[in-house]
Parts: sequence; C-alpha cells; structure tokens
Amino acid sequence: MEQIINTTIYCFTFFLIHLTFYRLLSININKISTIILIFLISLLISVKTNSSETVLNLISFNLFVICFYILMPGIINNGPALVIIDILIKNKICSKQKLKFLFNKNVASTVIKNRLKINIETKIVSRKKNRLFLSNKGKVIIYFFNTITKIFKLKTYE
Amino acid sequence: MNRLNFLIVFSPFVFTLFYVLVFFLVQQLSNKKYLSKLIYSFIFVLLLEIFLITKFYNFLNTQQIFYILFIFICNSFIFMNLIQIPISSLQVKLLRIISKNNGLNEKKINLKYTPSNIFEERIKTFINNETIIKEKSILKLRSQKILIFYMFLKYFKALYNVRL
Repeated sequence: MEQIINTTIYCFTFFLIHLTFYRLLSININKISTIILIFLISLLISVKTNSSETVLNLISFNLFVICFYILMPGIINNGPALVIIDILIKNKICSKQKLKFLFNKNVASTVIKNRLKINIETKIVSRKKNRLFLSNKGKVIIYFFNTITKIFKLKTYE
Repeated sequence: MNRLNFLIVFSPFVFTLFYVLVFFLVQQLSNKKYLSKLIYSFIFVLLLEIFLITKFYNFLNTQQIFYILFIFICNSFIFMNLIQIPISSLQVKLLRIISKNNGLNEKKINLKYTPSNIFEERIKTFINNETIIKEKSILKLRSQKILIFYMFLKYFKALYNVRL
C-alpha cells in the first residue's frame, strides 16, 4: 500500500510543479525533453537501487508523465469540438445556423492561426518568405499517422 | 529481479499489445463506428485482465495489482489518442494540407481550410457518433456522458486559467 501512495505522491507532485510553472512563471514544462530527462533519472535510480518495487513505481510515474504530455494540449488549447459542446450546453437547443454563427464568433479567427503557430514553433513546419514547408520532422509525423490510418482502416477528414 | 517480477513488469504491455490486436481484428471484420469498437475492445481486455488477476491473486501483492491495472490504463490512453489524432487533430490536418501543397502561402491556408469546414466536419462527427441529434434544423445534445468529459476539461481549464 505504501508503494501505491508513493506513486500517487510522485504523480501529484509532478502535476503541482507543472501547474506552478505554468501559472506563476508562464513556462510550459510539458515537453519531450522533460519526458527524456525524467526517463534518464528514473533509469539511473532503478539501476542504483536494483529494487523491483522501485522499478514498478518509476515505470508507473514515467507513463503518467507521458499521458500528462498527451492530455495537456487539450487543456491549454480550445479545440473546435469542445467549443461546439460548450455552446450547446449553454444554449440547450440550437439551430445549426445559430450554432455556426456562435462558433464563428468564438473561434473562427484563432483556431487555425493557433495551430499553425504551434506547428511553426515546434519546427514541424518551416516558414520561408510567407510560404509554408513541411520539415523532415513533419514528414515523419505525417508518414507515421498515415501508416496508422492505413493499418487500422480509419476514415479521416479528406 | 526474479522471473515472476519480470513477468509482472511486462504483463501490462502484453495486455496492451493484445488490446491493439483485438481492435485491429475488430476493425477488419466489423463496419460499426470505430469509437465504440475502440471502447468495447478496451473494456473486453480490461475485464480479461481483471479475471486473470483474480485467478493469480495469491501470487500478487497490492502494489503489483495496482501496477498492472495502472500501466494498462495509461497505455490504452496513449493508444486511443494515437487512433484519434489522425482522425480529428487540427494540427495534423494542417500538416496534411501543407504536405499536399508544399510551399503554400500562409494566407491561402485559410482559404483551403476555412472555419466553416471545421464546423461542418465536427458536426458531422458528432451526429455520426450520436453525441448530437438533429431534428429538422435543430441540434441538441443527446449523450449525457459527454457532460462528464466536459466538466473534467472545464475544471482543468479553470485550474490553468484558460478561458473556454
């Protein structure tokens, strides 16, 4: 039981550190480099201690950090689906035209701009003289997701 | 680390692989909506995992049971997101547009993918997965389950001072 409490404390501490950095210092520590750093520290600890309980704890903590990394963009950015749900909850019943009007009023100007900004900041897309090009990182990402789409026969918005 | 501990460390990853395989097979064989298949495959493997834990209960301690369940749930969350991203992520959609039109002008991207497109795509998805029902021209929420998800996100957004 003590080990379960330990895992919970590690996860909660990470969440609090992230929240503090984000709210007080406007720094988002939710990055690939953070995941790699935590993984390397965990690896070092597990080799040094050589205890199976610690290994289980560290694997749990590392996976929590990865899940948190996936979850955070949805919290920090407002996705269009969430905006539609929000409008419908506030208005209960809505005509499609009214919903579209409220949606355009809320997010239309920012939604694509924000995503494009993130893609440029993370160097997935490069910008040269107002023209957009896919970087090698971007090509790998597209190839990866296209492979998943083909393997699992998923239907995307095309 | 003895053989049992080794097995325990890897078992949730094996269960996740099994979950991926179950979803893959169901996708090939059935024409139903992918989201329900993704969720039902997860529930099936989770129940199987719980059944096996109860079978071998005497060999496991509380921490190991917690580890097996926690890691499987985390891995499943990652897999569900991997499936969801190519379908509904705006960032990936933008990457696809740029990939097809390399050297696209920044302003033209707004003409190729308008907010109206995004709205129509999302409404179509919501109607397909029965989150929203359309009666004549009126749209209303059908699934109350979405409210739990909505409240969870709203609470976290408030914590992070993000306005919806």
